[in-house]
Amino acid sequence: MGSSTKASAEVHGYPKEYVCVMRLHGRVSESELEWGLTQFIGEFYQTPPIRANVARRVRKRVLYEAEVSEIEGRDILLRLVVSGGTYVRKLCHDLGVLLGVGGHMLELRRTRIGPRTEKEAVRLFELQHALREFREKRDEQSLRRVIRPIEDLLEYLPRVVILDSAVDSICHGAPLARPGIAGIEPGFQRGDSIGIYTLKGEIVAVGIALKSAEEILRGEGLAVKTDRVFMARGTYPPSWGRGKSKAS
Amino acid sequence: MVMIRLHHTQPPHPVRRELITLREAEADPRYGTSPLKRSLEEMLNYGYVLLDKPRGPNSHEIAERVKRFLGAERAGHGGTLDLERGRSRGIRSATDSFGKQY
Repeated sequence: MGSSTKASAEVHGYPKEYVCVMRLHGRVSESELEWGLTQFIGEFYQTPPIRANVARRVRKRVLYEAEVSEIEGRDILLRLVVSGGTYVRKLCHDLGVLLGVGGHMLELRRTRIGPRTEKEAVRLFELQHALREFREKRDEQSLRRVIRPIEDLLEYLPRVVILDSAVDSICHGAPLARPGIAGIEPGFQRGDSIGIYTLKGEIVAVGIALKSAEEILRGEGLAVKTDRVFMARGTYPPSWGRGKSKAS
Repeated sequence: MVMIRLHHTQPPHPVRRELITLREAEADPRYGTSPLKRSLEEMLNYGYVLLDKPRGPNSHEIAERVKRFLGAERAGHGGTLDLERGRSRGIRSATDSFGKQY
């Protein structure tokens, strides 16, 4: 919602877990099925389905985990953990082809997306209920449980915490330089996506590391290139381009 | 009942490390709001809904419905959600992304 739509690129790239039902078009033994899944475990290649709204070229994806939890005739209940952008329907189809009998996906449910799991999800009626409580009783509590801060979705990114005086220039798209940094989470590499946060823990922007965390700790100069800004300009006072201001 | 379980590697998971402090600083209480103390209006702008999508309607239809709910909210709350300018994308991606069910 609002600014938080900018998190969708991160969310898209997150690993995901699915539970799906696959129907095979012929008899396959348990060991054949295991062999088939083993062929996909790890890195595998996938061409997006014809209907998909992306370029149809072969892409490398990762199957981190596969679990067959039930077999009922030709229907198989699968739990899969895959990298972002994997088409599970296509994976089922390709598995069917590999097994020589063909197959397709009957049902699919996403149970985890990056840091968030199915257990935290709310139903439509809960959202409706929360909105009604708010409108009729001016009670915000349920709505606050249902609408979560966008920071929860960006937990996968390494953090850089900046000084209040640096916030507004980042909101205007300026790169983050070493003097504006209050704290840094070690371990990231040049080119990694970084979450830029205020001292209060609000997301300001997502940026691309211009140096590794260790280089930033050692050196001077530009540290992170601002990529997508979440925070509205003017949330923090400007302290740039006009010499020393009161806020700095 | 588990019949077959195959593991490759764990998917990349964030390893939260301690922040290394470069400069001691205190947040100025006059500006910004900590994520859990946001006003409702701010929440709508810096928030998401993890929706358990029911079987049946597709993500787009669900998004439309959510937009309608929140659209009424917007009307009742002084134009917080700017749905007309295509900022509703987040709602769609939220319904798309979470608790997806076909």
